[in-house]
Amino acid sequence: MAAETGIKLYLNTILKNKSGLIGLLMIIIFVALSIYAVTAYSNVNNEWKNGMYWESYPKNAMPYWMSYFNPQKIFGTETLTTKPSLLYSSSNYYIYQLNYNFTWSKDKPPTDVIFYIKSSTPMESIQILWIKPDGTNITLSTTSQPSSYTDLISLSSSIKSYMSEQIGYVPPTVTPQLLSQSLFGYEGKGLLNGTIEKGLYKVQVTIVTSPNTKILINKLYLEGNAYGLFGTDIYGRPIDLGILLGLPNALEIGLLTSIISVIGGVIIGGISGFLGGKTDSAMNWVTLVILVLPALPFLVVLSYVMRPNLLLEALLIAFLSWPFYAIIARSAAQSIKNMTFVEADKVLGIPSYRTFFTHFMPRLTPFAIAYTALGVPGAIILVETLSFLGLTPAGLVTWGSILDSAESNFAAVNGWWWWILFPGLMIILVSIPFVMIGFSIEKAVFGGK
Amino acid sequence: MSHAGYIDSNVLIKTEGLKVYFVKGGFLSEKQITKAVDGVDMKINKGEVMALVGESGSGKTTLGRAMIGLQKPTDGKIIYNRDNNPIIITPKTKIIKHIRKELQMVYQDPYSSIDPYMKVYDALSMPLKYAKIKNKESINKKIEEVLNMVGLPLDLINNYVFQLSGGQRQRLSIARALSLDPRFLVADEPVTMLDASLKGEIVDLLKKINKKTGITILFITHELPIAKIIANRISVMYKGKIVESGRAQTVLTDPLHPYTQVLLEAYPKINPESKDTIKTIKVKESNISASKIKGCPFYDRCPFATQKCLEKMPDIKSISSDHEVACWLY
Amino acid sequence: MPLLSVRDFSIHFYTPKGVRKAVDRVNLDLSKKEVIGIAGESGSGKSTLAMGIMRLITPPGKIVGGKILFNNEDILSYNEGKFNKEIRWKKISMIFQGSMNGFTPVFKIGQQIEEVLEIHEYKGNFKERVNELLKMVELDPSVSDKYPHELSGGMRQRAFIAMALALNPEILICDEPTTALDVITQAKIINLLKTLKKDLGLSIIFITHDLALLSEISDRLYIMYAGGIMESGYSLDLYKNPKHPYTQLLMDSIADINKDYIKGIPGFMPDLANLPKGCRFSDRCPYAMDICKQKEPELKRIEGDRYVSCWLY
Repeated sequence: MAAETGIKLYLNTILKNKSGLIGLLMIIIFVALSIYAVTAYSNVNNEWKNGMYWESYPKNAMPYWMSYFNPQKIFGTETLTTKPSLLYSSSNYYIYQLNYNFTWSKDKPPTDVIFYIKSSTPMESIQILWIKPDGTNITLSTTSQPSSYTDLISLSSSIKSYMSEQIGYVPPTVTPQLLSQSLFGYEGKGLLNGTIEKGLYKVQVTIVTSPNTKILINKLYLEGNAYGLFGTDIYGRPIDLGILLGLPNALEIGLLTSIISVIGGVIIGGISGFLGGKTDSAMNWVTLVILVLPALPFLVVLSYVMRPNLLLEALLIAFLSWPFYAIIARSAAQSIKNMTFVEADKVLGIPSYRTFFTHFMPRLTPFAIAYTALGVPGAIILVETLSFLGLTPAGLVTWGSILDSAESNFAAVNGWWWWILFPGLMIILVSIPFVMIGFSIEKAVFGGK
Repeated sequence: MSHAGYIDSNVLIKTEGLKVYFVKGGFLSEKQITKAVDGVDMKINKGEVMALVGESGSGKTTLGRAMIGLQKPTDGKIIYNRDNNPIIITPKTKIIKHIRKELQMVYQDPYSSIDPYMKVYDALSMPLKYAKIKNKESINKKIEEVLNMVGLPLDLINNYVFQLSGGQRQRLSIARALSLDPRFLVADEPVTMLDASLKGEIVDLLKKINKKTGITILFITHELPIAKIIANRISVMYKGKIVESGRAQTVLTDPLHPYTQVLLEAYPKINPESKDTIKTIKVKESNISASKIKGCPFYDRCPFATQKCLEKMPDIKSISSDHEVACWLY
Repeated sequence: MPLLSVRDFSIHFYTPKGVRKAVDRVNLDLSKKEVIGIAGESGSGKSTLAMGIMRLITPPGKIVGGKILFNNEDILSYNEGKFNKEIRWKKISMIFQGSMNGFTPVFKIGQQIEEVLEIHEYKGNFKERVNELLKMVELDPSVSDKYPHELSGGMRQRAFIAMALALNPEILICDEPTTALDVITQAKIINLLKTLKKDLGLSIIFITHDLALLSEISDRLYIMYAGGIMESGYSLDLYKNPKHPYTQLLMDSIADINKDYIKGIPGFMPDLANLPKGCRFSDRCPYAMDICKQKEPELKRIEGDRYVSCWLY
């Protein structure tokens, strides 16, 4: 039927058109990435909200490639491990010792120092002897029973006492930066002035456990301030991972919403224009009423009340979007109705429903396809906006939610530009291929005929 | 549909006082009434070709469409003599469905009267399918028959309509209309949009079909020579009224109505000797609004117009057997 | 000495599908007080030729060669500025099929004609000239105060003719000026043109597909096909005795009230981007010979003022 040549014709036109080709390629890449994200990282998806999972990651780290600009001040995380030696064993307790040695040559201290020790049974206590290159040392311990992750905050009371020893007071706000600075700065009044000692550091960790406990994993993280392709957020979650996980969601919702609203709109508008008369007037009225409704406020309220899943959210957005397409389809149908062959069909005794399928559908379909492609970016932006406002469908990682998080944590004020820039760019980037394909289809539709 | 009404047995279709008025506006703006067909009595005999001649705006297309039920009449009746069982179509009648096949139409523009994106086979088979010819074999047979009749090769059925030329498409239109075995065919300016070199073919084709199948044709045109070639009888229409009608030969060689006379005089003829002669066109410039004329619509341009012409519509007079005219001169 | 001499005039259209030779090395002559008719079917190039003489060809079309001698000067060599100042609308003017719609609806007729006078720096009283022009085209001077929509199609066409004659041109090109008008108005416009020829000494190039119409006004005739001139000669002779096979077939296809048949011309006009080798009519010609398919015939004078482009002669 004419439809077959139609499809081949469109594919050909898209492929011949440079922007269409690029668009198609980009979409193939995105779909491949989405499949990768869904298969390889499905477990990560579930852990996104779990703070503990991201403990060992540097927090607020900028993208790793920034370190090439200034290796002294921007650096990644160094991980050290060592063989635990059992110092003492008795029927009451075991004592293990871990010795770490490392050379520090950067201009800034690590953003955090994290001891990750996984033992077969919970540890009783930890004591850390921190020896700086110049020989001065600090003894650190936790105030409560140690967990597997011991970071500087857990050791803060010991470090704070050390601070007040050295400079005579404890600063009102104590950040991990400051704590780290204490471990790496020169002893004395200038402990927190920013200069740090470069050279060989020795760290001795003494662990007391219950008898017969084994140290399974031990790691010393000297957290850098750079990590990953796009850096990390305040919880240590890599932005590149967030973007990857958000991609399939964005694509799915975008496509679903667009398809439903376009097909719905075209069918309603097309039939309305075709039928004319009272049915048309009624349908047109309904279309205009919904068209005038302010989409975003409605969606916000409905999303808040219904807390929809992905499919329902798509339906919701589609419900407010279809009128736009219905109006276009209606006027297209009306102009087709004026073509002589429509009346000729009537004279030849062909029933009107058949006329609709033979003449109207093939002429409305190209619109539908072009607008589906062009509608995806709008749908994605709408979804991400809702997500930004806190209305993400349950259990999903979306770019909007990442931006929401950035906003609540004052990312802009704090200068964590990567947290905002890359998710934002992605929203734009993912829209581009659909627009390109949409325009090249539009060109095929309007140029050819 | 009532089945009363007197009609001659050799008349296929006739109109009595047929009026088609179009009303524009109404609620907020002034009502504008266009009297496209303003009281037409026309008789078309079985098996004949009647040419309906007039300028654009004369109402000829509207009249043709009304006669086959595509345009609802405002007043008057159309009587279709179906197998000596006359059926009356009045403004109150619903559009006739089971009679639909018998009254067919060929449109003026071959490029828009068939969907160019259809396959030729589908264009031909669809009407047959819905005419309840279920058997695929009979459908194919009929398609072969009509393609033959219009002179199109059978292998064209695999082509798409957009691959066909204007002349071929017009033949296809005719084939489609014929496939339903109609009794009455309205051909609305079927050759007007074709090149001069193609007009002859289509006109000859319709002539041949009329002779072979005896189908009655209403041939609407503004080209007088074409009417002369194909028509048995001619009706001349001006501003919604038939001003003259009769045998084609008679009307065209001996026109009675001043309008017909002026039309024939003005129509270009091959006459190289006349290249420096000013033609006498017996027509005045119109300077009265059409709505003020209660009588003959040609009043404002007629060189012989009298007060009577302004006030009263002339009766139709038979001047000879088969030559009627509506003019106070007679 | 002809008033206008077109020699070897060619106009090509550069399209993605190829180069369409819309006008291919056309020669024609127009004398003072003469009406020449250019006849051809749609696609023959006759309108393009007219636009070409007025230098109104837009891309993808381009005038690629030839000479147009007006009073012995090659006006084709003039640059656009000079042509516009001296020739267009001043010496050679044009009316088209849609001219009646060439007036803008927001100004009165008189104002629009006066605007033309102004643009072309007419020296003289504008209002007087407008009245003079309207009288010339048999319109009442009150028309100058009317808006275009207040006039009928025929009256607007006359008004446009008045505007075309505003600067007293010597040549008026008419491209299908009456095709959109009813038969009676058409006859009146033709009468008008004949009167203008007699009273003003106007030379006219009349272009149409309607050969019957042409017979009523032309002194001489050019038959055009697929971009080239097939035959030319005096109207009287040509209609009685057409020489070129295409002309013969064309004459047979005219619907004339005195005939009771019209014949068609089998085949299709060739693709102007892909003209056949040899004579452009060879694939439809009933008398085609081998040489017709090999070599293109030249426009040759065969008798008197009759020129034919055909190997039969």
